[in-house]
Amino acid sequence: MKIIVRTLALGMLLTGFAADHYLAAKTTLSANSVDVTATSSWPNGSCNPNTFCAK
Amino acid sequence: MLNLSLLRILVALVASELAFLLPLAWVLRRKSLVREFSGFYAYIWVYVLADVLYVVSRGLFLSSLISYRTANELYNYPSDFLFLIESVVTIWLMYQLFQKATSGIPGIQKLGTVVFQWATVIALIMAGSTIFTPHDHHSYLTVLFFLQIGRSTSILALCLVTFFAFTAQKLGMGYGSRVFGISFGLAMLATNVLVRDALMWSTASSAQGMFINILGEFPQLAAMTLWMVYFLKAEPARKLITLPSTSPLILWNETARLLGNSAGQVVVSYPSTFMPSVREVAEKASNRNPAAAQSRGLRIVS
Repeated sequence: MKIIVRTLALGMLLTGFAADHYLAAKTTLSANSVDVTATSSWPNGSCNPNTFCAK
Repeated sequence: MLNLSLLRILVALVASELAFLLPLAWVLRRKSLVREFSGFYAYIWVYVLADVLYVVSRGLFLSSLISYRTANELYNYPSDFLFLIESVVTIWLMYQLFQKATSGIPGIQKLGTVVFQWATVIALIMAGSTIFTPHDHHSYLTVLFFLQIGRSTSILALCLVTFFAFTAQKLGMGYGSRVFGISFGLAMLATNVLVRDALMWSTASSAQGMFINILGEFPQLAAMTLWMVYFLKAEPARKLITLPSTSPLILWNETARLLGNSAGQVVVSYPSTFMPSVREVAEKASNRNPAAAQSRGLRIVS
């Protein structure tokens, strides 16, 4: 039980970090990223009530 | 092109969340747990409001009463505000969970609370600094700010559940406690939000985005089911917190308890109006036997 819970918690933490890192790369432009032309706004209407929607 | 079938499925799934959240709020009231889990109770209601807003706005569109653009406007602006409130309530909730989990070790609780508060403040400052970072010209600054706060809150929730997963037994609460159940559900939602947002940011079409949202509903429903199970079953009694007598944690706990506490005050002189009868007796005693009084350190200071 202990191992399962800890594995799940660590799995969620690492997945969250990875997604957060990806999101950070997409939403901000660092010195190494010059993807200024990328149209990364979300499509209207594809929003979830528990997060925001890009307008 | 908007896929109405997918939208109907999504609306139905969001509406089904209410079938979990409202009974959950009722269970909390029924078991008189609202005060004890006030942060969680507030969180449930913010969630309910967001869901109702979504279901009503999309429902009106699906009933052909309003256009999709109007439905978006009806939902988007209040949802941004609700999202901000949800982040604040989530931080409050996590703070409460941390306090409850560490209540058996007051020193560590005190030290941990300071660390927790600093982590929260830094997260908020980082979120605020997003406004000044270079960003995609398609993105709205407020949206980025809300996104950053949401990300910070999600990461805090994931760190909290990892902390509990490794220390729950030592804190005497075990995995069956409601504190752990709530935090695990929060972590599920946090992972879901982060992964979904990351996928959504790369999505090109509305149908793809809606499909991701539909998939994202299942972890949310799973988290709500988990909460329901934890609140329907009886809370297990907390175990005694025991440590080896040589554990450095004992010393850390004692040290942390004293941190920030000012030292006690000692009276070095008394005003003449202070307990005159007592002073009179003390003076008589010291006059009767000055040597003994002096050897005991008894001296009246005026």
